Amino acid sequence: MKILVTARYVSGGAVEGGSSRFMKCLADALRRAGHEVTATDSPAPHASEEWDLIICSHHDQFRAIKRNAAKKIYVSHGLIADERFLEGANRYISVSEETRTINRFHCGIDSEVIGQPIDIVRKGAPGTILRKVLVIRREPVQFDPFAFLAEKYELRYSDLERPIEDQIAWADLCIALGRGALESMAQGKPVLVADNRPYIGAHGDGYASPSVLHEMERCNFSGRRFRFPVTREWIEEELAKYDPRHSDELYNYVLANHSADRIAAQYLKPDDPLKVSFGVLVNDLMRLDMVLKQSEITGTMHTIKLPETATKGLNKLLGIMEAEGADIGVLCHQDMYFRRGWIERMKAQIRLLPDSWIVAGIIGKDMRGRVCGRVHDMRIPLHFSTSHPFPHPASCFDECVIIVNLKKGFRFDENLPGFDLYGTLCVLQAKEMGGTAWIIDAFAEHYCMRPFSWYPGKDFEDCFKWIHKRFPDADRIDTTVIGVPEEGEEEVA
Amino acid sequence: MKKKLSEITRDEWIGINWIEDSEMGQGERCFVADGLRTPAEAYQAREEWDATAEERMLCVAMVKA
Repeated sequence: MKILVTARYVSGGAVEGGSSRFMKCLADALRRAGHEVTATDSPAPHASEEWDLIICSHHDQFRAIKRNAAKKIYVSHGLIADERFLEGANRYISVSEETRTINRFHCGIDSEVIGQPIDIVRKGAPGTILRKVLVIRREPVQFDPFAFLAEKYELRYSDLERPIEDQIAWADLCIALGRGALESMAQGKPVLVADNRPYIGAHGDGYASPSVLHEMERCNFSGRRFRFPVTREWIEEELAKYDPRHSDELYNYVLANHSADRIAAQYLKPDDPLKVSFGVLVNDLMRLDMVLKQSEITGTMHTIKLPETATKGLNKLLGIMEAEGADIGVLCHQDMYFRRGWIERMKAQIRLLPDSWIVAGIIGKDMRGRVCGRVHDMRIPLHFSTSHPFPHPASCFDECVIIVNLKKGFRFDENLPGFDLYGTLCVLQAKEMGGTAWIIDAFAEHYCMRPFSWYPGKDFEDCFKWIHKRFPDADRIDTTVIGVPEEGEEEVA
Repeated sequence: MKKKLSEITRDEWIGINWIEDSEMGQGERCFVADGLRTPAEAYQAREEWDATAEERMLCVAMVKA
């Protein structure tokens, strides 16, 4: 492809800051993938040329190429006005959840979140004891909160004239924000995410322990995720967490989530015609606000509060999703949490299914009655991760996630009372319609609150009896809630 | 972009960090968005939103009157 990459800064020089290194890194990765790439901060002379793709950020550069007929990807790197989206691109990409939220608020434009591309150079080993500290920043600050570290450590500040990779290689630990933090981790170096920048003041997210990387990532390692005030005491506390054994995990995190070649491939992925919509029955707004709505997914979400029965509520949701033209409806609990990339993983699994598919789930039971799927029930530390080949034929689903093929006109039988067993019902109905039901490999987290002491009551029993009566010839009627004897397993009298 | 308190949705209030930008003599409080709330702030903002629902409606009614 012939690709134009244009932004306010593209040289990759340290003096131009993170966004410049971002665009240079992306352009280089695209070249490595065999594309013909032109990178420029002055796109006007190229505006009437023929391009297959234009990747652009910043207002002046976008305005210069807006009329070009090529497909245009608009990238937003941050929160300042010049980094916000303008109308007229074919696809919008934000570097973090924060950037996406603020763009949606200011411009009404939703976007995909694709992290920063980082060149994976070479991994170094940090010292057993913290001795050498590198502060990465573009220019000196008026008040340097880290100056006192020179009393205890060998302290250096990044030098714009020297390759940053060499400077990071020297350090045991780097103090940085944004791209500097990611580049340090990409060399296996622990990081303190903090600084004193004029636009946010002296704030930070803290020592980048592997367990909080994902949370820091939501604000692009900007220090705004936890916004801790940077004081001497706080810095000392955070540096006390230094552990050279984190090196591998930090490196692997960047490799998995930010490797420039992988990120470049995401920029070039073909348009996905499958439209996904979410539907949720709500009885606890707190759970919805603090769990499902914190998910890192794009798309529409519809909610119905306290329906008369589950099936009646779910059918309303299916009707709404169908009417808006969605291809796939995801019916999920208010206490499900989906991480970035879940929709893409789900779609990739759906593409493997035969045309006959009507419903799918992420956790359920197979036709022998064995638990099947991948999910984390957050009440317990262990992950469900069964060894089935996926997608796998299902006998029932856990109701936490039910995925419906909206092109098949499926509706739940509203004669099922109450709020139980509709994950069993939909599988049996799909088969009755001549279709198929599958469990797919699409890991998600279920922040379930049901106590372990819970046991199915009379309502559940009534539902179970009703289903047995409704489907007298079913191959298997099962549920994840109780243990139904596995096929071939002897029943105990 | 500046928003009046009555124009801010529940999701926006919970998710976004707001800086007050009201002017003297202005009928209703105004805010500008400033990045995401921290997890702790979001949790608190969610409770605050429900706790002040009645008060907000009263303010809007007063402004409209």
